[in-house]
Amino acid sequence: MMRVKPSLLFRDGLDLWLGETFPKGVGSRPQSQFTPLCPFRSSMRTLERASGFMAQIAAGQTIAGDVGQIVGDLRSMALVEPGKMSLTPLGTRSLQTWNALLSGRQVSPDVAEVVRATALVRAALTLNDTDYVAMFKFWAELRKFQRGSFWWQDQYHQFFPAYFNHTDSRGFNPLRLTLRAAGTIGEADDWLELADAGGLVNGASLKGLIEQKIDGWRPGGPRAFMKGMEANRAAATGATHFYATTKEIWA
Amino acid sequence: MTTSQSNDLLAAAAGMDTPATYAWTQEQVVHSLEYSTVADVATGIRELLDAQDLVVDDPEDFATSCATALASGHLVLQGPPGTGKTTIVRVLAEAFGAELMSSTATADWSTFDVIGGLRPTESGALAPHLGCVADAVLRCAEGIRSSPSQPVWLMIDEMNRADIDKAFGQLFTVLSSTSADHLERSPIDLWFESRERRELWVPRQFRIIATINDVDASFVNTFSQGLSRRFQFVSLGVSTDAASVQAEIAATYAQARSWFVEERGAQAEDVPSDAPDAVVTILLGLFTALRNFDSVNWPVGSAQILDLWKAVLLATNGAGDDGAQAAALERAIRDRLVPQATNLDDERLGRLLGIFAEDGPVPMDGAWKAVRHLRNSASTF
Repeated sequence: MMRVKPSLLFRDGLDLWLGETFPKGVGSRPQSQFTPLCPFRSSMRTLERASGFMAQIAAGQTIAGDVGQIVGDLRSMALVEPGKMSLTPLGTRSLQTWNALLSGRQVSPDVAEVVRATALVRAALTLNDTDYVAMFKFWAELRKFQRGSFWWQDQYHQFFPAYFNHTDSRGFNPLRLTLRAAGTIGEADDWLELADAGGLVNGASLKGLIEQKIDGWRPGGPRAFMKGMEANRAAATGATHFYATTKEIWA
Repeated sequence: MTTSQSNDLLAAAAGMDTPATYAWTQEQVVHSLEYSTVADVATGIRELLDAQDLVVDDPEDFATSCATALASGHLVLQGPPGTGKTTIVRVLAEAFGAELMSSTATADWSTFDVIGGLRPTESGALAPHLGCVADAVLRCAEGIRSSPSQPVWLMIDEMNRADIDKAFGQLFTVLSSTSADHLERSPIDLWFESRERRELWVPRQFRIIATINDVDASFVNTFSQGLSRRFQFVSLGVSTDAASVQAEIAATYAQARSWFVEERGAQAEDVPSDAPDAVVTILLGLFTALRNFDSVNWPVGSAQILDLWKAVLLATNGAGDDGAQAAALERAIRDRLVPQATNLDDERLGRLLGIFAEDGPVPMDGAWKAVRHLRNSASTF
């Protein structure tokens, strides 16, 4: 596979790109155009965890833990209504499907998480949820370049596509330029080198931010969610392709 | 939860219709085994045997026979105990790129074990249960559905422990050919399943490789002519000429040495890479005599030589002087090999006694006494 050196590919365009991508400084995430590859937020790393809280909300029970954080995260996942302690149509449909598929069955946690993600993506696409549709389209785009298992293999491959997929006013987009040039995102160190080359934006280091995000990244939930998107993508192409894809999903 | 069940769950989660029937297995029948030529497969088999230090008599003929048999149908590998049949079955599957499921036959096998039936659940209800052949056929179809070049085969170890006709009789028709036309007309009848799942089609690529032990008297069941016609039989004999036996002794030493290094955590360089001459000489004389038709005519296999090597390496901690190694070998022959001679008749036990006699080709007092004891015990009963 060709080794990509992003810093050589677009050495000149980075400062403007950084300034436009992080207009308020290098905060916790880019402020515009951000399309992640999973819906998780800080306290909600898996759908198994989300499902427990959603069941409590659906039953009108008190949530144990940091209610504000938990409900905030579920709201940002479009599973709980804004301003209300009730599930959204997406949350309700997802929870019902999870219960129908998994209740009373002996299913390993890994398989169950992928099944939950698949059902959530399916429900979101059916209900035309804008954020999930954008994630799914982004996933389908990435899949044109590499197999699913390439993207979910580790935290770097899960993380970099979303964080570098921003187009500045000149049409400069590090991710797309790299993929067009080489068909792959290359090595993590190369991206860190690129981030370092950009220096500071409003006093904060992009490299430092990336290292911090990678350190705190828990790949299990995002991996299962990507597999869920892949299962939906494969299902749309027919049974033969779907069953061929299951091998990669369970590997 | 099986892969198939996980796939069904995933399909349901993705909004696909789950396969409530086995009708889809009919679509998997048509794919044929993928290989270039039988000769290439035979070469692959020989290379895999070499890589694992597996010694068979006339390897070229053996590999060609097996490759030819499996290219067109099912195989029975027959031979005496200790000839590596089970390991060789894995080699044969690998040479064809097939995954292998395995099952060991028992005397009380019936169609329930082979095809399936209804089994009580914890709640007291009856639920369908697939037998080993039906289960392997289903997994083979699933494998082919995922990738047409990845069939699943079934090894039935010690098949003649079972009452073969009773257990396999219902498969006579299905097993009689691997042509697509035949298999599409002959699904397995799963009478115990719901109507939608009652028919299970056998992929063309599916193979059964059975092993049978053709020496041990405790294996009493034979193939009827009807079922024999459904399998090709390849015999796995033991070498009797000195050069082949010597090669076998060297190969088994290499296996035992690897085992010892791993088992004992020994440094590889502390264990000689060449088999010690003193022990080789004794083993060569012994096994040539044991296997020779004009002598004891006892087809002891490579596994028994391997066991002796392991005992010697353990007793001498990987490397001892000639005397220590010879003494360790004699103990191993007395304690491990001779007790396996219980099935020899009195005449052959007499010849075995002669081998270990003071004026015999492999004089060993301890082994001689053990054989004499065995012979006396046999005559008592």
